[in-house]
Amino acid sequence: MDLKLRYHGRLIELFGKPEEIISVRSETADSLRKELEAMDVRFRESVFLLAQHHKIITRDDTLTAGDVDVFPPFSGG
Amino acid sequence: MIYQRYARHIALSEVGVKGQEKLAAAKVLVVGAGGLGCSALQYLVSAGVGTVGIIDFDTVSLSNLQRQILYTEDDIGKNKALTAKERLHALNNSITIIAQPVSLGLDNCLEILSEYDIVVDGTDNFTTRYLISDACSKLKKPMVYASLYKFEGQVSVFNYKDGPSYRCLFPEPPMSGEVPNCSEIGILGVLPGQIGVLQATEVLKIILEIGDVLSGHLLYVNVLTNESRTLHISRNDEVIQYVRSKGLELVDIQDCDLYHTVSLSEIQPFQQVCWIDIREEDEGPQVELPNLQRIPFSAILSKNNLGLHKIHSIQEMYKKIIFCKSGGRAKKVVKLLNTTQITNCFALKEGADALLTWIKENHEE
Repeated sequence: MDLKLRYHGRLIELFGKPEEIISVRSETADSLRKELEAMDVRFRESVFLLAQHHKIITRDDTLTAGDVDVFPPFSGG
Repeated sequence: MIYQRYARHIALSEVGVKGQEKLAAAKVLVVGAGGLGCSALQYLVSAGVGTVGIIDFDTVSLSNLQRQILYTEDDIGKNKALTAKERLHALNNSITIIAQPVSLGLDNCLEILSEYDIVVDGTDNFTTRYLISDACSKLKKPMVYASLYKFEGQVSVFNYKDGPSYRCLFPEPPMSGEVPNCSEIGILGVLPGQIGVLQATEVLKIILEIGDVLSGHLLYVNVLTNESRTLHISRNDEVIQYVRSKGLELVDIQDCDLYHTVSLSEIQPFQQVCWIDIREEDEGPQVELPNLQRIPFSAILSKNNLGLHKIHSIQEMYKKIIFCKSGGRAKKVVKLLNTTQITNCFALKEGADALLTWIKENHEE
């Protein structure tokens, strides 16, 4: 399925763009995480959250085609 | 109870006299009197929260004034917690304000936090954030979290009525190389103002037991795009149980706490380095390196600024690497230099002994 990854925080600079459309085989949050990490070393070296439909998605949460937000932790205060 | 002062609160059916009394009885600790803290503190104090604690070891610097609105130019060099207390008492002298000009660490964290009902996270580094989170998780105390990046902010309430904790969101901290030093990140001055007010709002809702507390949800705000969304967070029992079962630990990560630091393994042969040995004259072992200056720690702290002048006279092009016996004093000096015009300064993480070994391996045939 096609996903539009929407980057936030420092990930925008890390990937050099605010969003990108990718085609994935994954159907759950965990498998998407693994697929992204296998796809690009920048995912392997980053801590990030995945969110879809107003929910932080983890483990076996089901993915649907469309927007996925990718959030890193922020440190500033 | 000063009815006139809180008349606009008391006029609200959701607050009333009873709500105002709840506020007066509440004890709230704000960890970090920086951008978020300055903002949240003013509204907590104005609202009549009975006991407000402020903890911050840091001093006010010129670059803080763009967003840390409790301070003035006259406060530069003064401790933030003590200065904030003075300013806030002028705002509301009828409440108790406790300023602690110390660093929150393993030795004092549980003891300090246990004195309060709610903890507001106004820190600017992951080390303290994970420490507060784990301590609040153990103490089952609500932690009103926020953090910032340039134009974006995140807000949530953790450990509220057994809700999710910060580790449910981010079980492990990012790796050292992943975290930009806070002094390198720009931030729009109004952002901590807005986000700190959201934190104060959550504190008031918790105390007053009104509205929907932002527990189990992460509020994300981008002030540049006017985007804001609330994301549901699931509780991770496994992570919470693990944190509660083990002792408190500091996460090992290089971020704001450590200022500009550099490890020997990160030094490249092509870099133009000026080494600064800040050990006192009677300290060994002797270190010999090209372009090395000996400027003792005592001279750097001296009132005549002789040591600082010497460092200032080093050409800007050089990366100034400051070292001592174990790295502790070097970090203090770099922190001090951060408040001056002197730039390109780094504290060597390792001490003189490790440096000698490194010299033998890299500079000798």
